[in-house]
Amino acid sequence: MNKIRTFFYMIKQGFQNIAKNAFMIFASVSVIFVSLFIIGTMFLLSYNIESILDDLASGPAVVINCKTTLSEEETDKLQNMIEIKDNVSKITRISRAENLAAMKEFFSEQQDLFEDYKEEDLFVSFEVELYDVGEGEKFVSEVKSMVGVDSVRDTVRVLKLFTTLKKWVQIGTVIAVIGLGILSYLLTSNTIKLTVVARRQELEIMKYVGASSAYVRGPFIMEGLFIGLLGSGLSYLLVRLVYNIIANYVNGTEIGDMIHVVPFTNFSGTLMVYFLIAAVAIGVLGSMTAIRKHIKV
Amino acid sequence: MDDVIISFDKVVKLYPNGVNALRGVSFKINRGEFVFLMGASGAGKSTMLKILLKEEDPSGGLAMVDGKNLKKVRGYKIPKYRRHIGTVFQDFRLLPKKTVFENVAFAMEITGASKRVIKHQVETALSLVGLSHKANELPAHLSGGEQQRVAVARALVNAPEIIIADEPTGNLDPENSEEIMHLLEEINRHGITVIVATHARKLAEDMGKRVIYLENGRLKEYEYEREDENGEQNTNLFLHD
Repeated sequence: MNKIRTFFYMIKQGFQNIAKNAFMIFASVSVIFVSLFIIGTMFLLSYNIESILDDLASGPAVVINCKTTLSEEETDKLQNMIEIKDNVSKITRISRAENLAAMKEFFSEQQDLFEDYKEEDLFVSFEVELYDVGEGEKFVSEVKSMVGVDSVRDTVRVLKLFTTLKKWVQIGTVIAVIGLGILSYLLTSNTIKLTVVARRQELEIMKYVGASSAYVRGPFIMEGLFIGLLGSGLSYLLVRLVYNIIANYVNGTEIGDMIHVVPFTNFSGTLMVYFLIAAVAIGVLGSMTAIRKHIKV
Repeated sequence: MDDVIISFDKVVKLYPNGVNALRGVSFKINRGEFVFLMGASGAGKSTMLKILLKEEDPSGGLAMVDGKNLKKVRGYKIPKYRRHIGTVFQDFRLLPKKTVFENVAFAMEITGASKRVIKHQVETALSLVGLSHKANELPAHLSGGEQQRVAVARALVNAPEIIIADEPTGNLDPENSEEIMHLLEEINRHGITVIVATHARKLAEDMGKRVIYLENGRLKEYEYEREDENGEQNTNLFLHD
C-alpha cells in the first residue's frame, strides 16, 4: 500500500514540476521534437536508399551483349575470359533464343516487328554479378575492350551513386544521433536541474526526514520521461505525416515508376521502438544526471 | 534493550581537504538522556551531527547508534535509519507555501503513511507543541518561536527515538529560546533521547544537563553522572589532553 501511495505521489509531483516549469519543458520538448524529426527523416531516407539499392542489386550489375557474328566456340572463349576475372561473382549466359523470346515479350503489342527475326539475327548475352560494385567501372572498361563484345549495359554507376549516397546519409545519421542526442540530453538535464534548484529546500528537508531515494528522485525521473515521450511522440507523428505526403506525391509521378518508395507501415514499428528508446534514454538519463549532481540523499 | 543509544569510540573524521574535524572522540549517550553538544565554531559539532545523521562516515573509530555501526549502514537503508531521528534546525526549514499542518504532515507523507494515520499523528504532535490552533496558518504568519515549535512537531511526528537539535535557539530571543528548551525537555521526559548542539553555554548550564564539549575536534570536557564504587552518584569531569 505504501509503495502504491509513493508511486502516485511521484506521478503527482512529476506533473506539478511540469506545470511549474512549463517554459523550459516546452523548450526541451521542442529540441527533442526537432532532433528526432531530423534523425527520423534521415533514418527513412537511408531505409529508402537501401531499398533502391536492393532493387538495383537484385538485377545483374552488368549485361554484356556479344556480337551476332560470334560462333559458339568464340562465345565460350569469351565467357571463360569474363568468368576468370576476380570481381565476377556470378555469370549467366542468355542464348540467342532466349534473347529473342525476351524481346518478343517486351514488345508484345508490336509482334509484327519480329516476324522476320530468326535466332541467328540476335546475340548471346552474359548477365554478370560483381563482388565489388565499387570496382565495377574498371571491369566494364576491361570487358568493353574484349574481342567479340558488341555492347555493355551496366547499372554500376547508378549503384555506385546510391552506395555513396547511402554512406553519406548513414554518416549524417550517426552525426545527427550523436550531436542532436547530446543536445537534447543536455537541455532535458538542465530543465530538470531548474526544478531541482527551485525545490532545493524541500529536497533538503526530505533528506533529513528520511525520504527514500525513489521518493526524492521519482518525480524528476517522471518529469524527464514526460519530456522525452512528448517530444518523441510528436516527432513520430510529424515524420509519419510528412513521409506519407511525400510518398503519395512521388508515387503519383514518373519518378514513382522508377523508384519504389517504401510504405511507412513497413518500418512504423521499428521507428516507434527507436523513438521510444530515444525518449526513455534522453528523459531518464537527463533527469538522472540532474539529480545525481544536485540531490545527495 | 541496551541502555546506550549512541556511542563514539575514538572517532576520527578527516575531510579530503585535509581538515581534521574529529580527532579520536569517544563518549556514550544513554537512551532517554538529554545532552548538550557544545563548542566554538569549527570545533567539530557539525561533523559529529553529520555522522549521527549518516551524512558523513567516520574516517576512523567506531560510531554506533542504537546498536548499528553507522559505517555499515548501506545507502539504501539511510532513509529508514533517519526516520528514527528527528531533526530541528536553527533556521526552522519550514516550507513557506505549506501550512503548519502540511509542514508537519510532510515528514510522514514520505513514509507512505495513510491519510488517517497522518492526521492523527500530526494533530498529536501539534498539540504537544501547543500549536493545534495554528494548524492552518502559513509559517510566515507565525513568530520565530512558533515556527521552531512547528519544526519540533515535524521532528516528533514520526515518533523518533532521538531528536537532534542544531542550534535550535540561534534565531530566537531569550524568552522563546527558554520556551523551546522547555519543550525539548518535555519531549525528553517522554523517553526520547535529545541532543542539542548549541553555542549558548548559559542555557546549557541553566538546565543542568550533561555537556559534551568539543574543542578543535577533541572532547575537552566529558561531564558524566555515574555511580562510584560505594554506589553514590558523582559528577565526574574527564579532561582529554
